[in-house]
Amino acid sequence: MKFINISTAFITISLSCAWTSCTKLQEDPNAIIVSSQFYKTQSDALAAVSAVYSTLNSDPAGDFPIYGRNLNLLTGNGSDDQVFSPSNTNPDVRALGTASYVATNDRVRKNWQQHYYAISRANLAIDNIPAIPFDEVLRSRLVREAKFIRALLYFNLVRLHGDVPLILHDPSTVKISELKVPRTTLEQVYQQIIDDLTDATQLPDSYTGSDRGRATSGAAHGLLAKVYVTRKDWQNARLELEKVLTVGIFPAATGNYGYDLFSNFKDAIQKPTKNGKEHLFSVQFETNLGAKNSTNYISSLNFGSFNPAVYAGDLPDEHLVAIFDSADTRKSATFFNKLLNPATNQLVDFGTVTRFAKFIDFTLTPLTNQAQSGVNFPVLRYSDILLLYAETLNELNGGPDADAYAAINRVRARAYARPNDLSPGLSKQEFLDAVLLERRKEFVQEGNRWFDLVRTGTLVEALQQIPAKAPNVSEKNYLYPIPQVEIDLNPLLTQNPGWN
Amino acid sequence: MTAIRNAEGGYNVVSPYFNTPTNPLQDIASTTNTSTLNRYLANFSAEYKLLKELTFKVTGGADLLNTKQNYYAPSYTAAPAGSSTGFASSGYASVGNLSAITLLNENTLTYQHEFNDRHSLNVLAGYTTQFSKDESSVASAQKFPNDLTSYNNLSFAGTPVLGQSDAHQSSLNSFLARISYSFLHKYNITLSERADGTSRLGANNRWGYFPSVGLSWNLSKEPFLDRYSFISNFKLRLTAGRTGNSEVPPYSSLAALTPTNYYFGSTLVTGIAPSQLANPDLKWETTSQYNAGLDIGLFQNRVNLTLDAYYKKTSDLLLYVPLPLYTGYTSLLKNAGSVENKGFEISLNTDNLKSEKISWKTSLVFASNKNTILSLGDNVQSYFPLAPTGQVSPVIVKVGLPVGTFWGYRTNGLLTEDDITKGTPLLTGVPQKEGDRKFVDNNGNGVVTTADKLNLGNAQPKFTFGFTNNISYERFDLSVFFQGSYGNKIFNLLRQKLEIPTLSLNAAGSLVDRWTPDNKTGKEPRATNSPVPQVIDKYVEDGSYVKLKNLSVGYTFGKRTLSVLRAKQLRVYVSAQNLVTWTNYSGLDPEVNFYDGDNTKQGIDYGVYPSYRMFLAGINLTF
Repeated sequence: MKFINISTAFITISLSCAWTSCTKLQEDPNAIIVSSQFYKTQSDALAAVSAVYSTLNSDPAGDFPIYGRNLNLLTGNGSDDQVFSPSNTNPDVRALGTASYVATNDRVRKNWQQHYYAISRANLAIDNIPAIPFDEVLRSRLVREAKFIRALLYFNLVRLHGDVPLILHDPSTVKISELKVPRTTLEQVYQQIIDDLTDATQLPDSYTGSDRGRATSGAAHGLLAKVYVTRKDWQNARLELEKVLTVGIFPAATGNYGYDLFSNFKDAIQKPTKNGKEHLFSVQFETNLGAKNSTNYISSLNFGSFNPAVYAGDLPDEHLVAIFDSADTRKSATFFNKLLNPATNQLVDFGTVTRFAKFIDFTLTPLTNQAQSGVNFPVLRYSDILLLYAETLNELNGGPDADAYAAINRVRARAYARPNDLSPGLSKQEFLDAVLLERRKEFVQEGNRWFDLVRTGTLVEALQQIPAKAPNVSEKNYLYPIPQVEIDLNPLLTQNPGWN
Repeated sequence: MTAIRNAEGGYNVVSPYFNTPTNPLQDIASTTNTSTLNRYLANFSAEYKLLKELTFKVTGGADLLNTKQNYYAPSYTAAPAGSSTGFASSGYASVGNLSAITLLNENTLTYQHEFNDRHSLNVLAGYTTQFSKDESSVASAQKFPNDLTSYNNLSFAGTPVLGQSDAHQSSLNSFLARISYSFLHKYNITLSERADGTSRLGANNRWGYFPSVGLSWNLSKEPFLDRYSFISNFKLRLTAGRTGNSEVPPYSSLAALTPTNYYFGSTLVTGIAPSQLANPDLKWETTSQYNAGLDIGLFQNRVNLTLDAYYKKTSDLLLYVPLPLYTGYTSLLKNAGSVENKGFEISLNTDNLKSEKISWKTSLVFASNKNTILSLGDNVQSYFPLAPTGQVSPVIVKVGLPVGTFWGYRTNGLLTEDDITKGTPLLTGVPQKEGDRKFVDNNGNGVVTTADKLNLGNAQPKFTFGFTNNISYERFDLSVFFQGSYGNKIFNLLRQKLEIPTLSLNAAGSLVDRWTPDNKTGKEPRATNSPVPQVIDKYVEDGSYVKLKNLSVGYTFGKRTLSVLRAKQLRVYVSAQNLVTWTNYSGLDPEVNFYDGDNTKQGIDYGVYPSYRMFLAGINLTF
């Protein structure tokens, strides 16, 4: 009897697993991959780089992705384009809409965290892919794609926060004392951005089929130009811009990428025309493909209900709406007060509070289901290149030349669906003002406004026009604070002026 | 304001504050969320006497668990939270299941030998192994033409959602040895050593070694105590030993990579990237414990007193230490620092009355513990555990202080016009005005910054106690159990959250008495567009309490009734749990710990379902 019991016990165990596999202590997980198994094949390399891109359109915790509203909270709500919405229940979101944010602001921290999370994935790809044996052309391409994204993210960080830690490799230690680093100077960070982008200019000119949306050579040149404009390195900015501008349009243009403006402004943002001739680089969003945590909240928080009493998550400041004249096609593409409900064929009147229309995905049924928006976020569009060219020429020549006028007038003509030239004979300052006004109208909600105000030194005066922001704004707003948690953890990080 | 119900008694589904035409009460009422659980436990054991004094024992145990979860949110609900609500996705269904198995096998050899009626020797050697495995899967789908099939048939859905599955397994193997020797049953010594190996820790440090030694002296058997006949038991105990803890999730030490998605050319691709840093050195958290105890029994053990004093030092704590965010990772599980606990425990059991008719027994347990963080390793002096979105961590983990210390600002009412003109120190970073909260400039440098935050108390009680009385009188019995805690603080995060003014969310009624130009004596600060929730003394509350945890009254029937029912025993009783609580805490329940799974965030109340008051009536009938 005793022995029968013993054997029963052993049989139970052997039913579920062999003795050795039950008792061994080595972990062989089935449901996760560990890094020693990875970075071995071409498809690993492709997946590693896809993971870098995914940081742009998704957040692992389901928060707003960088390019699905979170960065816009800093560059849109932080600028004079937007004010807080009564539906902003997160005080930290609201603080950005009233210029009363502090160093502990949760959105500022999240944005910082997301950028460095993305950078760490880019670093891993850049460090690990070169050792994987596969087609050399594809291998260098993938590394350059990761470098493009790393440069884009550092460019955001350095403009938002000033000096930031320049991290180029995954931590090789878990000793926290060794992970504490000081801020790297602006110069060094910019040098790294320029190096990465210069390498990325050797990317392919374009992609086809299921590779559309990857970083290209033209995107790298275009972003490099924007970096030089921000640095006021007008000479280099001009050189880079002329590599992007389609050959034949300007005497100095040499671009062979075939970039051009869509004839209809609305097509620059809509889903059916995504990754088109106007798009140098876009962050991709799609409808109903089931990707994890990838929602374009700019779409879903701009519009989610035909109930006019429901506030949108983001609202334009009334001054912004007022600068558009009614002949400008960008006005109706950017805002709405009335919206057709396709289900009832009824024009719903939302009253006097103007709302954003730009990122509404009009192909969706029901239209309110904007959580499924397939509208891309355009990081860099051809009209941006044209306006940067106009600005650069104006700076280089001490005033606008014919090409500068031609560049801005192309953008204006498209906006008005007819030639609508800027008055000739403007001074350098007048022309700059005209370019900045055009940029403001062209890029509502596209993440340019705050950066433009900062690089032209006009942020404080612009925010003082907004009653909700005027009493709170000061010189310190030219940089966002270093997140307080980072300073608490690492006293080597100093805070930006005015944020202590 | 929108009422929950409309005039016809249906739900109001349109509110100016929500994007979707839904109703929170309707969401709860119409969402299906069920889970069923099946559990099978089996244990076998066998003993075989190899020799007269040598016994081999084998035990085997199996624990099988299966759960199934069903979820359905109809198209008119705003559940579940997130972007795929029933409304947004035109009906959302999800089914999930989990199966888990734990196997345990213990094999021991025991040698028991007594000689000359003086020496007693017990030697044990053994090997035990434990294996756990779980597998789970979830399938979800959206866009149902109607709600008829609920979660039962996902193929009615228009849109599938990527399925999920997961699996874990872990093993724990141990070798043990123990020698106990007793001389005259008076002087006892026990030596033991165990070696535990776990799959969950780092590859370099899977095994931990845990020795212990125990000495006891049974003084009541000494002749010199014979003349104190009222002493029925007197025992002195001394133990020293080490124990280990490896309770971390499987694969915690590995550089795990997880999948993400992106789209190229409108097709979905999978990206793979690390989600945690590897820590192959992750090792056992070890506690060295020293204990001295005294057991005293008096008057034929009618009075039993147990006293224990201890010192425990836990080293190599298994902590999720926050990493600088610029590393790309938020935290890392590592062995960091050490904590000490010292204190004493007293338990006193007495038979106050003992007769045919009446009996009264009392039990009192009293414990006091002092906790101090000794080090955090890596030259870290303090850190704040990561707080959820929109919050500042109320607790600090700091060398020299207990775990669960609240760290924030002292405040002193509200800023008056006079304060502003006098130049009272203001909180930096926020434009402060009359009617805002007045923060105390602790370091006196003229401005209030995070450097002015200070220790606002901690979640550790000075002492806890339990007091039980069991009284029986003839056939009636009564049991009363009190439980209490003294000196612990609670951070009332829920109150902090509710006292933040918003335009569209529910808020505490105390906000009615806030500062306004017409109500300058208001107690709460003025309402602003972007209130910043600060950790302040106001929300650190005294969490001391005494609870009448259990009260029960019973009646046992006599032989006459029993014979009518042909029963052996019959008792009827009523009992009540959590009947009364005496506390000054303003929240729902002072027995609160929102972050149950995280030791660094003790004593935080962020809205926990309170312990419920329960009334029970019962019949015990034995045939």
